[in-house]
Amino acid sequence: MGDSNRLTLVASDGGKFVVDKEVVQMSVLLKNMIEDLGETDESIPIPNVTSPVLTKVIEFCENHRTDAARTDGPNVDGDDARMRTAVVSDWDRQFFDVDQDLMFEIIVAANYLDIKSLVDVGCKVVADMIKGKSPQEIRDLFDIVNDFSPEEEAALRKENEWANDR
Amino acid sequence: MRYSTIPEHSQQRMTPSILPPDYVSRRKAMRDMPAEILLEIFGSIVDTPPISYDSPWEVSESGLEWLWQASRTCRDWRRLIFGTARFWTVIDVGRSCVPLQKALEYSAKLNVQIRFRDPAPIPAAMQILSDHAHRIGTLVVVRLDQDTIPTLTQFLSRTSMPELSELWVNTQGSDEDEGFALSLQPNLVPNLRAVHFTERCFDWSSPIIQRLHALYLGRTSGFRDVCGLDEFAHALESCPELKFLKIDGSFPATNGNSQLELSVALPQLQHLRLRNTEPDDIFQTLSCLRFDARADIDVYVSIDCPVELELEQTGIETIIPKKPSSIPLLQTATRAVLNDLDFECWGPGGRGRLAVTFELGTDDGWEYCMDDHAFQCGSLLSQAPVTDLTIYQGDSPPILAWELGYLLRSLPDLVSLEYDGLSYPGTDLLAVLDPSTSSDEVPSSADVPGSRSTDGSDAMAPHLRRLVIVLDKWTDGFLTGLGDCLRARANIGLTLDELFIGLRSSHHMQSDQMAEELQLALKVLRGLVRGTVEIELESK
Repeated sequence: MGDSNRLTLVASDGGKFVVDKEVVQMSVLLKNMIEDLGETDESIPIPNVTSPVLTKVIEFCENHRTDAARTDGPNVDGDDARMRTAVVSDWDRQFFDVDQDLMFEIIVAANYLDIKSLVDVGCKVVADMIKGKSPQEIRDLFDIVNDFSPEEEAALRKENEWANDR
Repeated sequence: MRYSTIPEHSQQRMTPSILPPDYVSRRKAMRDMPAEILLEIFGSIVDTPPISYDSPWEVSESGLEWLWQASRTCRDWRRLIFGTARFWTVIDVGRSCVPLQKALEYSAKLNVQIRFRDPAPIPAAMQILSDHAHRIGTLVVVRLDQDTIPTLTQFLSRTSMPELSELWVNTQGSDEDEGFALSLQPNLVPNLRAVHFTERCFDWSSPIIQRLHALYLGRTSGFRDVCGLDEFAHALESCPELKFLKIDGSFPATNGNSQLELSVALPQLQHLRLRNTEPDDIFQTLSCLRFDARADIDVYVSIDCPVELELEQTGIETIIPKKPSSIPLLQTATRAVLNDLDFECWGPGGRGRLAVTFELGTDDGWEYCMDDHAFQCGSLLSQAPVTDLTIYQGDSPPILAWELGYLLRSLPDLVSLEYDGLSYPGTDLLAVLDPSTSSDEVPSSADVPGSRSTDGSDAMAPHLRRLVIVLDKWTDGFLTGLGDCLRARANIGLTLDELFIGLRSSHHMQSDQMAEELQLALKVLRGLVRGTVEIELESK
């Protein structure tokens, strides 16, 4: 019988990861699975997530395992709470300082595993990359094809008075 | 088998060069993102922090401009962005009404937060606002001008806004608000819970006041002409839901009745903010309030300090009345911090706070006196069981031994003392802590009115277990002196558990004498302290 506080996750490429149950319970999907399985030595397959991505996801969960306790402070209804906003921390920004493919894979994996905080942080990082850029710069950055016709583009340019009015 | 310890993960940080061969086929790019994630990303672009009650006009950019730009990237993005009403609910209006009109259209039937950064489009926007008044949840007017006032006044007094919960109209900072009277009909704004207003023409008995969760009284002159403190306090007493109260310059008149003492029956109050140029107004107001001992209230006092204020007008005793019976924190505080321009204390577990800060318009001619500050801090908290004290010495002249001694003598329960920026020997902390120092140099218990001796002896800080000193600069002989001081304390049974010495700047002083003294001192100090002794050069 193994350590009841730990379990094994198996990535889509067969990579195995032994992790604390407390850590993986940041994933709603895995939390539900653990509750359904009860005490077991069985590994949990994660068919949609490769080892490199799962490594990063677990790293995030390890780092944020105490977040829930930290936010349960007083004054949750006060002005401080109103000001609390999900700012991307230095650690999180560093965490997502990876190539774009891996960044999006992590976000998709977090979405699949239902790890809300990781999805939130990932999306904020991407949103920050979009802010301040023109449509063409956004297309270049993310390799997106411009599928507007020339006529539509002309109409969009005219519509852009929104930004110019500011 | 791999384990999830973080160091191992760090080693496994992915770079394209070490990706397994099949990794490429699994690549994800922005174009592969499912709609639900794209929506999260777009939502993050317009994700704006909530308005702070403390400074409701300091609103951050809503991000709509960037969302608009993103909508022109491709058809899919455009469809998602314009098809999601919630993205368009925080609307910044600059110089034109076009953004307002467009965003109201895209936000469909959802409640909106509208923020006018510039007064110019307000007259022209009134008709648009009227058409959508039923779903205005928050209205912010960052700046007013003479052309705007009549239109806005009329709109607010006549328009039914059943969803309006917050109304922030900035009337401070200029004379242009003259004539702006916030006249609201309770039945037209039944859900208003947070408001900034000036006193003119506002009906204190209005049901609106009674429903408020946040009230910000703006800076205007003349409040004391129309409202006495008793009337003001009675109005407050009719606000059982109030959680946030800020009085910025609009202090009521005490009418010379310094004996007035009113109980603040505000069971929900969490934040009290008082800001003024005249410390006396704040002193008078605080003198008349009585806080519930069980309440967890954050009281923050800010003095806008004109240089010409005399030093004797700016000590914390001239701002906070020494009335522990009315301000229970003065009897219950366990932690205190003071520096050149701030004083703060907290109750047990961080519950409750009392803070005073001086906002300087200019440093010219201003020289705060830390001596007075330390002395008055000791006097104010002499009945509180303060165990943790932090002193940050900035640019002001060092605290003299007598005043520092007075402060420490007033806090006999002190367990932890941090002194950051100690200028030695300017501030002779060692003499203060050394039990053999003559009573001519530092006060004895007899010199401190109401002094409490907690162990029967007359030693300074008899319970001190943790000492942190960050020196402003290296001074030869300090560590030797510290060793002598700690030895004298140890001889009467007063031993530290933890000692930390830091040095703000040492790069220009790597002398042989310094290195020698460091080595010697470490050895000596480790013999005098029960637990950790650390010396760190270049402390931040």
